[in-house]
Amino acid sequence: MRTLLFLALFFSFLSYSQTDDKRTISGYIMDEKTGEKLIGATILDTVSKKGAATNEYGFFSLTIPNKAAFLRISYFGLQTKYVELPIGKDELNLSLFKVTEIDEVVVSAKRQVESSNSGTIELQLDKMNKLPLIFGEKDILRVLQLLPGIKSGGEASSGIYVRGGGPDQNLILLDGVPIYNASHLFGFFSTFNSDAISNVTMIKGGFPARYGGRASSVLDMRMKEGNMKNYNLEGSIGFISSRLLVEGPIKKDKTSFCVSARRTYIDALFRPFLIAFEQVDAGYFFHDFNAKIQHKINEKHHIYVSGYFGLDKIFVKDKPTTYYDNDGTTYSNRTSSRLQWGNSIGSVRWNYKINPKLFLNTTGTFSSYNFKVGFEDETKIKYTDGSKGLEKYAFGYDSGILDWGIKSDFTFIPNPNHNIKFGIAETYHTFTPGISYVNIKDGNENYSQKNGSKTQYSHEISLYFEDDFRISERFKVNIGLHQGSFLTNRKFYSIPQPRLSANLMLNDKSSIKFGISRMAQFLHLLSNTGIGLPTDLWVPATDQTKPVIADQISLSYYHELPKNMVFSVETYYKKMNNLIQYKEGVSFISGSQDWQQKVTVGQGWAYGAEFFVEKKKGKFTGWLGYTISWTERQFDELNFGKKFYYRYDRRHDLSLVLTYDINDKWDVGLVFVYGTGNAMTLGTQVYSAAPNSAFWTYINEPTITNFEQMNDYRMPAYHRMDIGANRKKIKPYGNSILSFSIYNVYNRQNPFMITREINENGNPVLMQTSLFPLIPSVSWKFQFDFEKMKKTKEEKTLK
Amino acid sequence: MKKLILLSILSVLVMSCQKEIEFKGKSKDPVMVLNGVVENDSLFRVYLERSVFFLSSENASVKYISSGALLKVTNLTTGEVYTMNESTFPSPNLYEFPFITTPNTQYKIEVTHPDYPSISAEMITTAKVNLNSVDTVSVIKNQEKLLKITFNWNDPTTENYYMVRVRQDIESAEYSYTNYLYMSSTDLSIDNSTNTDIDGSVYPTNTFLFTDTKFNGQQKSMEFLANYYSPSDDPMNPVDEKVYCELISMNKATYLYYVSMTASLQTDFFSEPVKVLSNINNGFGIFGSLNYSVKKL
Repeated sequence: MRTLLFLALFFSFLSYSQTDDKRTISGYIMDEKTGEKLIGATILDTVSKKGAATNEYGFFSLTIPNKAAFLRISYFGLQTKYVELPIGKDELNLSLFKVTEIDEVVVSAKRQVESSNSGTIELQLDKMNKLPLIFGEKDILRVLQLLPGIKSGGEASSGIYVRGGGPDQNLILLDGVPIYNASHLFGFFSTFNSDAISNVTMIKGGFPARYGGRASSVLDMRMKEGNMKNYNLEGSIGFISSRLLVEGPIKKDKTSFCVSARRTYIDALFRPFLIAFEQVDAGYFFHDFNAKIQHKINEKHHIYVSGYFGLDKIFVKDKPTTYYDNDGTTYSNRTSSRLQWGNSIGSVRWNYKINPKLFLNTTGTFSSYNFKVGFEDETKIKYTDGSKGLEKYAFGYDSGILDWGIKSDFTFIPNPNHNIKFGIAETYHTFTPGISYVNIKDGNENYSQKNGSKTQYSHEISLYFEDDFRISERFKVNIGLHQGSFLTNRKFYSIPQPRLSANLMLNDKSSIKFGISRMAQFLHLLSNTGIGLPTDLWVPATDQTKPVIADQISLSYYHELPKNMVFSVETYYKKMNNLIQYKEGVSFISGSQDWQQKVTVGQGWAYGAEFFVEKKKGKFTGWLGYTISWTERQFDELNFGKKFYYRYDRRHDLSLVLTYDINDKWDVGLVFVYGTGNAMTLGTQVYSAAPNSAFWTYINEPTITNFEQMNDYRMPAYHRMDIGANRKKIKPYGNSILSFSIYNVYNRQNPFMITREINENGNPVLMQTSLFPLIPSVSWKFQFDFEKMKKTKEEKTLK
Repeated sequence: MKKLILLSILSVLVMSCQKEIEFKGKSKDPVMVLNGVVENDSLFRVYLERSVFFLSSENASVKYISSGALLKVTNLTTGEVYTMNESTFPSPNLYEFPFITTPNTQYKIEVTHPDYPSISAEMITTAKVNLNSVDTVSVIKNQEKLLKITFNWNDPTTENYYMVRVRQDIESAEYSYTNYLYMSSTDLSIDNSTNTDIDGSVYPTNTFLFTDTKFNGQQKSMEFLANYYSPSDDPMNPVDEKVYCELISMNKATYLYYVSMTASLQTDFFSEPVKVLSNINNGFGIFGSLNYSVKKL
């Protein structure tokens, strides 16, 4: 802390110790239409040829010679603006207009060849609508899965597996707050309502030092801040869910809000039928709610308050059954059960422009994830003498994690060659890794018992320092150190994590990038299936299960091709230590002993190459991504200590994304994905157990199915094609988009699981279970632009 | 409760469909399976079969190897060699050698057959560990009548592996059967993880496997609470009941084999798969040793 204070004071001093021959221009760049701050907008002084980019809070600082400046401000999808700033005017808060004709697609805003960080992708969300939807839903994680190095777990999985890491190794941040379970409907949808998100950055290698806490990737998402200018209402109606977003100014250009909600209605559709025909009230739904308020106190101080609440729930209630005893006593019995899980997060953020070169962001965060199972059996008794009784059995199982945190991030930009970031963060974790309870009431007697792992408390503290340093016009490095510390159960870990990324521009069109980084993860996810089920448990590093440490080295080549095309190839090698996995035969529902007794600790390796070609502009756009990779694991207590392929080891992974604008009204999209089948354990030899009466108390000894190695069999390859078309209509009130999509257009039966079963002829056969066949969907998206409505009304009045 | 979770999670499979697919892995040729957990002071017995491809619809009896195989057992301690090439009549897979198994003896077994790769295994027989005494007393717990059984024995200073159980032999004019009493124990040497339900309740089991790590070389008393129901209460149908307490000591390979088998039999939908231990080179099965020490109640 003292170091941080010293750094802050030191850089604050440096900020003012400016010579007269320099001037520093600083401020925010925003979207003219919404007032939203733009992340990654570039500001170039065309006179001195010095440039800067806005940070994750829309702030920039540019130090140039003390002369009149002629600035070029540009941002992907918005009209470039030129501004002349005379000497003496150093504050610039500027808005950019939207271009009328947008022809770029989803990926990459900035010139990737110039960035010093390899493995970083910025997703352009407003273009996602061109891609085919499933059930009318556009999903951020599913789009990310179409990029090289980022894989899906399988058919029903929105979990992401980045460069051989597990789904727990991704730091998923929403407004700087970690989200612990990023999926709805057992992984089919992600928890993120894309309408409420304004910016998505994915980092899979070459990690800047400001990020820490996970081993494999960072997914940094920012929620919309709310339109500062006008009210806007948009939404969509699909087959299984609907969404609505409202945003607008509370006080124009001063305070704004953005609220969005989404809910499925599968339960509403099926419940009446279940009640009528099956005598049972059952259903499933998920909903989520995002809200954000921003308030501009003055040009120096901005305050943001945001929250997200999501819930999935399955419930089953039997119809009461009544029966009678011989003596006439009446019993009325009813059982009910429920399973629910959800995330809640909140943050309060304060942005403070200390001076033109020094910027501070302080955030207080809250994040909670809970999983609950409940079962109740209730019998109401009416005795013949008129007295009443009650017998009740209730069982519950809870697990979850709760975080409270605070962090301060400083950005110091002394000159265009240095962009220094440093900060400190503290998170207080409360882990509830699986507690079950039983309550029994029998007449006047009550019995209750709690079992399971103890609640654990931990402190996670991190300090970082990084400098994005332009050494020469052609050579740039991002160098830094992230010091992560963790205190749990009197065990203290402190792990220095050095980071280095370098970019050598070979010429104006091509560059070579190099990255080396160490990432430490103080939390583990206990998972049987690895597909991101809500039953997965978050647990802390302990003296028995040390923090995961991942060392990654990457080398890449970027080249800008003619016709607005970009080509890149990235190679990587990653070594992961202290991974945990359930021991053989153990699962989250087997036994109630402490989780530490259920797991074994091991290591992992991942290496491969990712190829990517993207056409960014024109009517016809899209990309082709291909990854060849290997991922292995080794645990002393699994597979007799031998190495084995990770379940999601995927030798070949290919994705093709194409979009075409037919005219102003129609655009079409196509997605094709191919991936080597997941690895699975399949015993291929069957034999009898030892016929010794000392052990088997069965009449016949059991049979043993032998497998040579864990995960030594490959499921059939996964491939699928989706197509979609959008019809846009400009309405007096705003816009209307009708989307038609077909998921899995050639009805490929992709494997979800493979089992040995006996067929109708009594022969053992291999059966493949597939989940989603061809699924057509239609959805309608609407947008009410109140400014436009006002203008239309005014025009009509004038006429 | 397990069913509820399972059913709920599988409800997502509502839209699923199944189809038969072709196995496209490497097809393995059958190998010989040797199962021989021998007992001291008994004839040396092993069972010989072969493995079957998991999608084969062969009849179970096809697995037996009753002829064509040459079994050679070498007592590496004394140098004596015994061979057999036919199974012991009438059993199609039992090979009973004409010598008595002795404790602390190293045996090697080699099996050759023209149709299968040769297999071999080695092991050292364990010494018997005798029960000193078994005490019983009736107790009431949670309004339930239980039998508290205490096993007492002296644990040798070597590494030892044990199994405990209580056998109940019932015989009447109309029927006879053997039952193993379901018991529970809170002894620190007992790992109850495999017989604990998700709600935390430890349910009784009829077989306990444990090591002497926590009491090596000491005199050991181990308590069990058994759900005991006497079948002799019906005067109209008198039965002859015998209850035996068994302490079974075994070598490490046999212990690990039984532990891995137990885990393999108790897996659920979510569990990591269990590889059952085999100490047979080029084949499958177990070549081990165990001894009974039995006290009749």
